[in-house]
Amino acid sequence: MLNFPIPEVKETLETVMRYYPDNITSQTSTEIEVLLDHCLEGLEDHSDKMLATLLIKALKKHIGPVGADEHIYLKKFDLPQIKLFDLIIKHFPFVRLAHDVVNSTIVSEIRNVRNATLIDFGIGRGIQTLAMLDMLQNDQNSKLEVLTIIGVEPFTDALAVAEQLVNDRKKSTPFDIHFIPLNTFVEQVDFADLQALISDDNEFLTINESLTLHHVQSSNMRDELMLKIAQLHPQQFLLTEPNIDHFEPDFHQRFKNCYRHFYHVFAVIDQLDIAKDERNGLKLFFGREIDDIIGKQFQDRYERHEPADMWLWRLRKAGFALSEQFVLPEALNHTKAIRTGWIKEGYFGFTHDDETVLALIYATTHDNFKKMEE
Amino acid sequence: MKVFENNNVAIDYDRNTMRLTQTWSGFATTEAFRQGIEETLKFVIHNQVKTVLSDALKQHVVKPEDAQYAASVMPQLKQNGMKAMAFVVPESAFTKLSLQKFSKSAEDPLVKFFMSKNEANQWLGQQ
Repeated sequence: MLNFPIPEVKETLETVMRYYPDNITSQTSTEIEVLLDHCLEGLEDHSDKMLATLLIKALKKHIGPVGADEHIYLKKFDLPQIKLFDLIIKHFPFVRLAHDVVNSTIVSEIRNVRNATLIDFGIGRGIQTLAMLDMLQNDQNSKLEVLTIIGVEPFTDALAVAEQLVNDRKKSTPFDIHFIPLNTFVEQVDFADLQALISDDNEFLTINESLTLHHVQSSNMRDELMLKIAQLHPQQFLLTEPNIDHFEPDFHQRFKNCYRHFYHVFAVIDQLDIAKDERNGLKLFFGREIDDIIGKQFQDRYERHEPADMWLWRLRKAGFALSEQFVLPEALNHTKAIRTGWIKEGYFGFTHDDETVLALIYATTHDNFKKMEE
Repeated sequence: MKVFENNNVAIDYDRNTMRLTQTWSGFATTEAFRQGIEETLKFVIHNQVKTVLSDALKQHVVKPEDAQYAASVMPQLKQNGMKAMAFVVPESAFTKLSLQKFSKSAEDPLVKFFMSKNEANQWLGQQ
């Protein structure tokens, strides 16, 4: 019987990740192989093993095939995309509650005007927007008469779904909805055209981006984008972004950040009241992000998250002021897996243990909105 | 008495205690590792060996299929008179994982693990 302590997965993983790029030998490759072999056994019951497997899978994109083919073990956790979206929207608190907070914050303002415009950068299939329309529809005291929704989305199919779903709601909402689809990447939007789409009658401009701006490739492009958004003079600019540095060019530091972030994401998934297969399916879903963060060369990477502090800095540089006027729905009081609350640096955080995983930021260009103490 | 030696393993036999001792070091290729296992088996088949001590303290990582190969010869070692086997636990975290692989594959109550060679020898002496 084994009577000596088995090494921690995290420590051994950290060691093998240090081997790339300069120390890949037959011995270190065997160490990677042995660790992978260890992780593949029982990965469905151990988050640390699942996370290490996904990270080694990403590392193998750089060093080539080593040891067992993890795809054979992982593919049994693959869930249909429709099922995944359903799980994320209904159960994954970072998404479900972030939508709730942002939508409540938008509705709390546009319900007070007759004519409002929402620009949604990265509207996707319109899931968040539809939830917001639900809130507005149930608001008996809303003054809203016309809502223009400008949906910016690079994926044509998703945008078509969003357009269809929003248009389907027109019949049942007590206000008019104008949906304007813009099939493009956010950084390719012509802001003069965008400005022209905002009606002269518009009384309130709210801009939402949820998990989109971190796809903008360079720091300069992000700063330029912030300036252009500021020039639209939105009353609200609401950002939902992971609070982690995956913009970091150093491979090993990026690995450490990635491990920390997804360790907490997986720990939250482990607490969800869903079936084990569904939990593992969700973790595997995040494996695609890990592949991008760790497995791709810098120029090909898409998931370039930045810490909330960095977004705050970019916003302030572009002339935005920060607001703490988030409207917090009752549902926040019933979260089990995470803590939510105001983070003194200037954002609303979704925290697991000591790690704030997701940040919601409320920026404004209007003085009459209550701002934070600078 | 020296039985065998390559770059990664030295195998010695003590006639008085009828104990075969493997002393492993460094990272062995599949060929070198399996050579050590095969020479052990060969010696056990042709000589009186009551116990085997495998000192893995300085051994580096072992491929999963090589660990399984080592486990696969355990029944033959026992059939040929081996009563017990003791391992000195390796320093390397990865070799510990290799040894865990061996242990799971061998699943043998006659195999025990010790932190030092002294402890291992003491236990083997009682078998």
